[in-house]
Amino acid sequence: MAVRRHIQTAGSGTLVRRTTYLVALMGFFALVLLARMSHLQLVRHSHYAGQAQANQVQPRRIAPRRGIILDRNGEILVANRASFRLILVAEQAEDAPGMLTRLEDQGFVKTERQGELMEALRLLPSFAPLAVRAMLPDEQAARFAVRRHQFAGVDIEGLLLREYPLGPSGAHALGYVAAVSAADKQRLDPSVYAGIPLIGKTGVEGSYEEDLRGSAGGERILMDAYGRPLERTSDLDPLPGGDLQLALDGELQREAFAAMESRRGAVVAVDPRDGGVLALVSSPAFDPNEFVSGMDSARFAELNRNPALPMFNRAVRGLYPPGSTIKPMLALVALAEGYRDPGQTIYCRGSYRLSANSRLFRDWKREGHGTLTIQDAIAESCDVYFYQLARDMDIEGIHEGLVRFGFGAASGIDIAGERPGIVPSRAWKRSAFSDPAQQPWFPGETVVTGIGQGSLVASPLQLAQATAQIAMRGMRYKPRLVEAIRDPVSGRLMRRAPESAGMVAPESAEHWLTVVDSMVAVLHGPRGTARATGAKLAYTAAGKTGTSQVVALPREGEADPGEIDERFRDHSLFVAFAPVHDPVIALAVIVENGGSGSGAAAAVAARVLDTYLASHSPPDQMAQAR
Amino acid sequence: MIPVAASFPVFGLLQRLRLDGWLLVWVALVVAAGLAVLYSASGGAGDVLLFQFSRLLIGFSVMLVLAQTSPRFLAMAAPWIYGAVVFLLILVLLVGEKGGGAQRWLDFGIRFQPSEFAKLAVPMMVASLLRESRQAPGPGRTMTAMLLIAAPAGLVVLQPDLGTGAVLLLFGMIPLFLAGLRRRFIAGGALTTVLAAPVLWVSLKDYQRARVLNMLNPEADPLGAGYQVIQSKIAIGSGGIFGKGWMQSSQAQFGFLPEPTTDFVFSVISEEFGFVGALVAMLLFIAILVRTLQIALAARGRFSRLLAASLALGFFSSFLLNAGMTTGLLPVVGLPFPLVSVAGSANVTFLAGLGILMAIHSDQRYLAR
Repeated sequence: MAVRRHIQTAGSGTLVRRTTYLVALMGFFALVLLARMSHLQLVRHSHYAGQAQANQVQPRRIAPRRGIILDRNGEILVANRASFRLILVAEQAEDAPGMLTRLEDQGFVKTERQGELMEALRLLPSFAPLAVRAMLPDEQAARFAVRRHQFAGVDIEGLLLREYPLGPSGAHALGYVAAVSAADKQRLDPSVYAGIPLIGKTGVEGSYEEDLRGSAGGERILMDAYGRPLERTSDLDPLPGGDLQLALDGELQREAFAAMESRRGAVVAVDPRDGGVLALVSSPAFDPNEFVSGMDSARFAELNRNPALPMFNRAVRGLYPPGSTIKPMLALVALAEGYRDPGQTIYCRGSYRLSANSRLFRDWKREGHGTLTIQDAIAESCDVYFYQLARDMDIEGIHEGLVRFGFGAASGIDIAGERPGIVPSRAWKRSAFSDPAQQPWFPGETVVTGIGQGSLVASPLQLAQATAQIAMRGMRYKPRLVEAIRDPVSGRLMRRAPESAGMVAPESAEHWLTVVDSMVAVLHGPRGTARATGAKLAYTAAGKTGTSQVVALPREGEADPGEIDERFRDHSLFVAFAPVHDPVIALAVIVENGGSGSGAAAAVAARVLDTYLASHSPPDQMAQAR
Repeated sequence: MIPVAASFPVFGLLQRLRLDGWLLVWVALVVAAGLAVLYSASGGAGDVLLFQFSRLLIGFSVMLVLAQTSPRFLAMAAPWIYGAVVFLLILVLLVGEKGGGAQRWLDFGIRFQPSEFAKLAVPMMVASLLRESRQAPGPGRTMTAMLLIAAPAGLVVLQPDLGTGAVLLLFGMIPLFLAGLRRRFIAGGALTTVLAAPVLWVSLKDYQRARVLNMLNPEADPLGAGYQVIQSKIAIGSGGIFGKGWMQSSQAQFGFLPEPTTDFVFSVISEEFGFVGALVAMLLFIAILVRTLQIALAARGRFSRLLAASLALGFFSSFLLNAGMTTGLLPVVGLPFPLVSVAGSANVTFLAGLGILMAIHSDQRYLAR
């Protein structure tokens, strides 16, 4: 053959041989390729087919609507507001930092956040979405939607944000929500919180999280590689959360907060008939709306560093010596247990000694109150009367009595963080101190407990509850902010029945009358310690002033109260209920460093009572109206 | 070969045009199927198809012209062509257009990539150099050949385009090897490479190493290159035995597969037509290899034989390199799939190479007559 002959000539043997080598080599590579193709397409086909499918179909959770919160009159206290935000996915944008700059140029991203966002962009993995703008105003959202094609990798996302119309006044009662944090995720069931962006942190938002939350739905979205949705398939509709109806009165809450005028302190008002919390204010406070869009750490640190403790819920966590506000409760126990008779009198000469050489316990009125009954002692807030009574009851008798008014134990209110306070006793002192020298109980401690000082401490909520118990002549209900939950499925309002929390001497009607009358005299009597406040009331109320010592002041009272540094001034307290014969509201007010009780706290209390009674006519008048 | 040609009357007509019938059949099949795949891979974009069609038309024209030449003319023209290409490669570095972190293009009204032309010019030059002696090249000629290969390869690496540079080295080495490159040179070269590579690699600083790795693919960071291969493997694997069908490549349609019309067109073929389709593609390239090897082995004259065999092996290895890249066997270095990828300069070069093979074939038949 002609070809063969040519090949044989002139050294072309090498060429043929070497061509054969290379062909063999390439044949080998072709076989490797074939094996690779078989592996990918035949052996691993289902794996890659699944991946191709997973590439396009992305499951997405749909956030449920969080339940809203209404006050007792149907006013919206916590609402949901539709909001837009911008999300940037770095790997979907060609040049993510450049895109950020363009968004800023067009006014979609705030200039002051630019540095922070660039940093976040650097730290986040490129597939992770970054919220570059929260709460995009509606008109900007519309403008973005039109130009969306210019911003590859940036998407607009609608979500429901929380809105707190009450602002700071409702902060401690209602609480706030924040983005589900990494720490939350560790603690919670991830399947429940998948697709749920917000979680209730404190207050009603925190304690009713499960009712408010709802459950996330799911859908599958067919997407292209640029994350553009092509088609949606709904798998599961989200289930909205239940709406809450509170016992709280929105107007009263605002009014009580305003009455505090940013002073440190708390106001707790309850409906004595069922334990519904009408107002729960801690002042100063923070604006929960700030938490919704994500608070920066500097602002959060600032709130926590503030010496006035705006993040601290004084209403349930603040513990104060109740001072003279404890006297009506002690008096009732004394009468019911037979330590005193209503007609029995003592003579007050302005001071009291346990024995001849013991310490002198002074009355607030240095010249003394003269001869008084237990009723006069409450109305005029005589300390000497209660020094003597305390000695006669002994600390154990006082302890037993006050515990029955709910002191020294958590009330069981439906928000978290409550502190139980302390009702001292010999057993308590032994367990509270590890140093044996501090463990013995001294008789002098019993004496000061009689006027609500010493180790006795209670929260404003506990004081309001004990006052409500007097208003109800012995019956106390468990306090609660939430009265009813609307079932999200059936739409039915599920009311919760009031729960009894304790009873004191219900059979001693005349003793209750004695105590209540004495508290009426505080406001309306000729020598009542709050008669100035009582004179302005359009209705008959019962109340009690209180002063709690912050630090031991020079005993002989050399210092004029006006000269004392504000921080060392006494706390001003006031408890009250009204109307006296058919009480609809009982409250406790404390103004830290507010000075004497008949001043600061009583004024706040009067304003709260006025507000509430103006819209809640006494039952007898209501009956007439019907 | 001649009896087969006689059985198709049209082949006779082609012979008069100095074209090879069988080679044209296989190439036409590849090109036709390739255009169909491109239509799908581009999501039905007419402009992509039009561009590819126009470049193929130029390629076929060049093929037709080159088929009319004689090997003797080509051997004499080789140094001029080589010189022109090296000049263009220097021009690229000076005034070339940048794109994707590299400078690869020249734009004289029509954009082209001189490094692609070098894939043909370098083996032509080496074959031309070695055509005189019937003996295995001695040390001097070997050194000359090595320098002639290294110069354009180095210029291309500077662009930087390490992938094409490596391919130039390979395409230049093929004729040198076929001409009988002495075993001790081969062994010495291999030993030097094996010994130097790890030493060189270790002596590099971390950032330099990263740069070398990055040079393999300047368009994307390592993570990006990884993404490309992952998506390519998903496309191929999800094709299965028979594929998803024409126009059904979800990986390309939805944009997951990068460069579906250029470097990763083989992934689209494999996804839409499955293992069977990929096998058919491979068989077509084997057919071209067989036909071009036939031409090479039948060729007369040392230049013709060296060049024809080099072009035959080069064409087939281009297919293997691209397929190896898309299946994750080789690093992603941006080598086109012959005659199917949208790559104007490369396709014109491939067709020019086939035109030269046809010229050699015609010459052989003419001399044999």
